[in-house]
Parts: sequence; structure tokens; C-alpha cells
Amino acid sequence: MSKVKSALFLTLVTIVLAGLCFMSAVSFNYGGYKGFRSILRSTQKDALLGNNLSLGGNEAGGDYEDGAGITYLGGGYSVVYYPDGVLSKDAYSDELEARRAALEAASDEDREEAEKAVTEYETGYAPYGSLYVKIGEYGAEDADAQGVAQKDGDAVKIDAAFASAFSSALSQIKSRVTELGYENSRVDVRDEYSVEIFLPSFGNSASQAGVFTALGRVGKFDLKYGASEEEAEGITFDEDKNETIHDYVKSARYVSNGGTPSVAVRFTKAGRELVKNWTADASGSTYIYFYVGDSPVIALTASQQIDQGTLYISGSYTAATAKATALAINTALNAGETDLSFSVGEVYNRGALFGNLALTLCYAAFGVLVLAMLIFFFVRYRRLGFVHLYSFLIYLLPMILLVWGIPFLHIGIETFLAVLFGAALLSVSTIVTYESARKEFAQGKTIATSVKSGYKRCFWPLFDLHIALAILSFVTYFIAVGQLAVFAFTFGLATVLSGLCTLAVGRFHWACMMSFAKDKGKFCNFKREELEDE
Amino acid sequence: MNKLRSNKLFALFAAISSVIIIAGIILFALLGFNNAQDKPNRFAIDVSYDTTVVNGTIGEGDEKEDASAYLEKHVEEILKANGLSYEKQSLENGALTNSAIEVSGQQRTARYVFSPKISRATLEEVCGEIEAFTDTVPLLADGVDNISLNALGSVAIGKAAWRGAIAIAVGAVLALVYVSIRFGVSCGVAGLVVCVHDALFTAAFFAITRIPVFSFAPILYAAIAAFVSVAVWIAVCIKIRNTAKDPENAGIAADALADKSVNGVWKYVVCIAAVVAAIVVVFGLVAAAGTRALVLPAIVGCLVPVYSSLLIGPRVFVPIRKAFDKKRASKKGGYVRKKKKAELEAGE
Repeated sequence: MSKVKSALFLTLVTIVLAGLCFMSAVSFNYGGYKGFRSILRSTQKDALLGNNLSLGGNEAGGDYEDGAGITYLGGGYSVVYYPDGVLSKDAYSDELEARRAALEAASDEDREEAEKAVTEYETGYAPYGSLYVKIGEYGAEDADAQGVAQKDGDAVKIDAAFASAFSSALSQIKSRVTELGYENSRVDVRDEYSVEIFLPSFGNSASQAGVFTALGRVGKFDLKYGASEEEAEGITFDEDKNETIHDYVKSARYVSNGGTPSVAVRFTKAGRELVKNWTADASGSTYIYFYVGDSPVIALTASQQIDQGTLYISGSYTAATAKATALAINTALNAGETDLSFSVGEVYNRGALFGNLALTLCYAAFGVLVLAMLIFFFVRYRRLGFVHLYSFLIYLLPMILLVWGIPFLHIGIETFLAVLFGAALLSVSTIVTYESARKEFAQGKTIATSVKSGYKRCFWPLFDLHIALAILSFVTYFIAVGQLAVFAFTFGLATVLSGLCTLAVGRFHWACMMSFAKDKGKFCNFKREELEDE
Repeated sequence: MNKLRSNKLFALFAAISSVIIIAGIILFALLGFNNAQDKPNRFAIDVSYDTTVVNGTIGEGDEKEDASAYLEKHVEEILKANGLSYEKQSLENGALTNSAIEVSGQQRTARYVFSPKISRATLEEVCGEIEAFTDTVPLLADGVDNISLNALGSVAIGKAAWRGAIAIAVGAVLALVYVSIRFGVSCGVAGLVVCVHDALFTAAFFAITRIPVFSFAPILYAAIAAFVSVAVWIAVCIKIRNTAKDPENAGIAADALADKSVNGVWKYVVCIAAVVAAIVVVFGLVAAAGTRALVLPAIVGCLVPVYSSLLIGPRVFVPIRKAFDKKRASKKGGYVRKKKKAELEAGE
């Protein structure tokens, strides 16, 4: 390549790379309220490393992405659920204070009743760890006698039936969170009888709220039909045939119909017939209610007769809420019987789980490794190090753009590792080609011939290495879920880019840059073998 | 290097690997991995306060302090005075409605997480001390809403592990089918043995040593081992092919071919693994504590492939290669015999 063409090409490449580096890393404000967010800053981060705005966390959320995965916004939310008959210390104190205040404000006429309300409340609950549990019999017919624990002196003994119902409800919740498969999600049991669910932050607030609401709906699944919740009537099971809800409803699942998230409920023949009969005179003022526990998760308007084996229900669902609702129905269908219902208690928002500095330190570690790599290349190959630097940037910047642009990728530890391993692959491959060219040069060939034959010798081995790793990565991605899928896909991309940079881009840059060097051997720090003069 | 690859030592290495993998599988089945990094059981003291009340500054002159910082600093001093180590989490309180999660930032919670080894009674006393302290400062007495001690126990969520294991296995098979096409079936089969060995060995290592890991991490480490394993095994395969193609080595026996190839390539294998291990170590050391706990154990996945691809893989390769050589020779012999017979018939 001529010097002019090389200079022109390198100038263009340098400008593009500098521009991309700037866009990737620098955020700034302009014109008062306006601002530019760098690509790294706008990239989604997982719960472990995001969200810390001052250090490059996420500022705005994208929507939940269907199919391959979900976009995380960094950090996450914890929601605490309390079963009926169990209160947090805070909720207990607030209610008690309110009753005492009512007592103080009560007139003489109402005083007795207000006193009774305070005493009943005080004696009706007992502390259990940091919780307060209602004293009484679980499932008692008399509402006043209902409770979840018995008092035995100072000790509080939880009712076995309540413990069993809680355990069943917990397994429903656990199963849902597992099936949702969000990274870093967890379910904690607080003081044995309340549940805290942590989910990473994703999508918009409504979507996240919808998922938390669906996760907390536990209990038996039931199907009802009527003009309102109060008037709705359920299925009359034939006791002689030992009928259950399974004789009417098979399952529920999440489907996406042309991009519209829906819940698909599959009926049995009997179920289809039942819905057909129910909706025979439907005119839009009646509803089919899909109950989980004591409240409906779906209220479907029946505007005409419905005669379908599978009912596709769409509405204001996002993919996340549709999936969570389908899971709520499915787990309720398959779980053991529980008539426990939960109420939402505390809600917490958490930043980066690994701390506010975690992301900055990851960038610092990445910088240290890149610096070490460049020092090695510049010491060993002198100005040829620039060729590798350009190859590395042409590898790294598209990687950043890909992680930013592909919806289910995000910055996390696994992404850092995949990009770093890809960089290692690129560096090792480059070293192999440089050393191959060095050997050729040492034997007395010209630098142009050395480079050509060096690359020729290495091409197929490096091609095989990259192809095998790419196959392993992409196949792993298609089957795995969670962090491993993200790692595998990112590494697959890294492998492809590394292959391109080593086998094509690097060689081209070498030719361009070397055209300016007077002593080409010195440019590469290559030396001829010294032959002994006999 | 040659001494290490003797048949006697191969039997020893195979035995060691088998014992580790079998013991790992048994321990995994009985106990699972040590997921202590997930902090499955722990106590947490939550100090919740209203930021509109705990606001402004406390103290006078040089001792003026931000009220919320003052509160959290004193709570931490009480914990330290009681000899308690903790992990602090800053939470913002919110509310869940049907249509949104509302976080106003008005209420905050400082959560202090403790090891389950600390007794509940000790922490209850500490809660009492914190309450007594907040009662002495009027601003805090009004603003601190709740000081609660919770025993938290996480419920294991395991789905990713099995899917991950199947993913690695299928990926390895397909990658090594490619290796078989390019380098021969013997290299592909030996590579598959090495790759599966490395993934299982790495996972077994964590099951046996009980090193505390995050629940999702062992499958990631096993995957890293599989990736490094494929990379270094391809380096070995390239050397085997080059050695076999060299006219100097025409008709070389399978074991001699393996020995010669490994002698020529072991430095490269060690270098590749060392580069990957160095990345893991440097990244682990510079990064934050949580990241370190996640990244550093991955070094096992970087080192196991060196052992297997140099000491086990070539020995597995030899009998397969021998069998193929024999088959090829017999096919060649058959072909020669058929050719001779045809020539004889033509002569007659």
C-alpha cells in the first residue's frame, strides 16, 4: 500500500476510533439541562454492579425484552410479604397506637368499646421474633377465634396447619421466582413466617409492580363466572367423580402473539364445554374470573360465546407481567392446597449489590489488565505494538457497542470476564502470528515475505481455535440461562471479533503502518539470526 | 515432562481424577455446593428513618455533622463496640401499588447484615442499645421509625445449574465434532474426554473443598474450565497434526507422536492458561470484595485444563489413535490384497 493511501486510511481509522472511544466513555452536560450519556453509562447493568448514577449507573429504563432475555437496570427491589395473621413490628405498633389514640379521643359512650379494641389487640397478638402473630386457631369457623398461633405461658407455638399452609405457599412463590429466572433474584424467609423477595430492577415501574403483585398471589386456583366478583359463581364439582379443577383447566403459559404478550389458558374438554355454556348469553357485561387465592388475577370480559380449547388473554400486559401471571396460575394449579393469602409490607430499593464502588473498580481492573497487555506488546514488539493497539480497539469498541445494543446483554461480572478472555484470545493469537513472522524474518526473508508466510502458517490453526470456541460459546448460550448464557454469548461475540481482528484487521494495519518505517525490522523489533562466520 | 506422562503415572492421575470427580458428585448430591457467599442464613438489623425529620445537621462548630450520617456513624460505633462485624446495605423504602413501585426517597433503611453464628440475644441487646441511643437525641427519637432484627434464611433457587451443565456438555460435543473433522477422530474423542473431565473436575473441586461460592458460580467456573480446555486442547491437536505431517516422523507410533507433540507444546499450553489465570487474579485483586469472591475461584477452571491436556489427554489419545492406525492399516492391507488379486486375475 502506498504511503499516501496508508496515511489517509490510518487517519480515518484513528478519527473513528477516537470518536468511538469518546462516545463510549465520556458523559457531559451542555446547554444547561441537556446532557450526553456515554455508551458505557447508558448500557444496562446487572443487580450486582449497577445502579449508582454518580459512577455510571443506569438513568433510564428500557422495556422488558421478550424471548432471549431481559434488560436489567442495575440494583433491584425487595418486597416483604406477610401472611394473614402475621404482622411486622412496625405495622403492629402503628395499629396499636391508632387504637390507643382512638381510646384517648373516645367519648364516655364509646370508651368501653375502644378499651376493648385495645385490649383485644394487645392480647390478640404475640411477638414472634421480629413479627407479631395472631393468637387463635388457624382455619377456625368463628372469625374472632381465627389465628395462627397458640400461647403456652410465655412461649408462642405456631399452629401446625398454618405452618403447613405457609410452607405450601412458600413453595409456590419459590417455584415462580425460579421459573422467572431473573439473575440474582432471591427469596428469603424472615423470622420463619414472612417472605422477602428480591428481584433485579427491570423494565418500567408498572411492569415490576405487576410482577411483584403476581408473585404474592398464592392459594388455590379457581374459575368463576358472573357479572361481578361478588356475584360470580364457581365450578360445581361432581363429588361422585372426584372432580377437581384439573378436570377443567390444564395449564397456563406465557405466549407472545406477534409481539403482544398474552396469557394462554388451556382447558380440558369439560372446561371448554363449561366456558361455552357459561358464555352462551354473554353480552359484554359478564366476566370470567381466574382466581388465585381469594382474589382474581385475570378478569376476562365475555362479550360473546367463547368456545376455545386455549384462551389467549392479552390486555395491558408487558411480557414480564404476562409471564408472572401465567406462572401464578400454573403454580397455583399444581401446588398443594393452601388458602393462605399474603399482604405486601415493606418495599425496599437497593443500589448495586456489590457496593457503589464495584463498577468503578471493575473498570479499574480492566484498565490495569489492558495497560499490562500494552506494556508487553510495546516492550517486545516496539512500534508493532501500535498495530496491536489498533486491533485491540477495533475489538473492544464494537464489543462495547454490542453489549449496549443487544437487549439481553448487560454489564456484569460475567460480561467483564468474557470480554477480558476475548481480549486474551486476541492477544495470544496476535503473539502467535508475530512470533511466526519473527521466525521467518530471522531466517533471512524480507519483512513482507515474513509477514505473508507467518500469517499463512498461522491462519488455519487460529481459524480452528476461533471456530471451535465460537461453536462452544453459541451452543452453550442457546441452552443455558442466567449468567452462564450471558457469559457464553458475550464470549462468542468476542471470539468472532478476535478472529476478525487477528486474521484480517491486524494484518492490514501492519501493512499500513509499516509503510512509513524506514527500517522495517526495527519497526517490529525483529532481528536476523546471526550466522557464525567460518 | 516425559516422566510425568509415563503409563504408570497416567494410571495414578486417572485414579486421582476419578476419585475427585466421584467424591465431588457424591458430595454435591448430599450437600450441594457451599453457597455461603449468598449468605443463605443471616441476621439483619434494619434501622429505618424518615429523611425529612433526620435532616440538616447535628452538633455545633467543627463537630457539625449531617444528621443521617451522624445516626449511621453512631449505630456503627455501637456495633463495633460490641465486637460485631457486619455488611452494610443502604436501602430506600418505597411502596407497591397495582401500577407502580413508588420510591420517594423520604424513608431510608440502613441494613446491617450479620453472620448467623452471632446469637439472637446479643443482637437484641444491641438493638436495645441503638434504641437507647436514638432516644437520647431528640431529632433521632422523632425521625427513627423502626429498629428491627430479622432472621433471614434464603430459599435456594436452582434451575440454571442443570441447564448450564447440559449446555456445556452439548457445546463441548459439537465443538469437538469440529475438532474431529479437522484433526481426526482420535483428537476429537480425547478432547471430549479432557473437556468433560475439566468441567466435572472443577465443579467437584468446589463440592469437595467447600470453598464458599455464589450459588450460580460453580457452573460458570465449570464453563470457564471447558472453554480453556478446548483452547489448550486445540493447541495440542495442532502440534500433533504438525508432528505427524513432518516427513521426519513418517510412520511414527501413536505414543511417540503424543510424547513428541506434548514436548513441543507444553510451554504454549502453560502460557495460555497462565494468561487466563493472570486475568482472573488481577481482575479479582483490583475489584471490589464481592467481585473478588466471585472471580478469584475461577482460577481453578483456568488451571485444571493444563493438568488434563498435558497429562491425561495425550494418554487417552494414544489407544484411540492406535486403534485407528490399525484399522487404517487393515483397510490399506485389504486394498493392497484386492489390488494384487485383481492384477493376478488380469494376468491369468
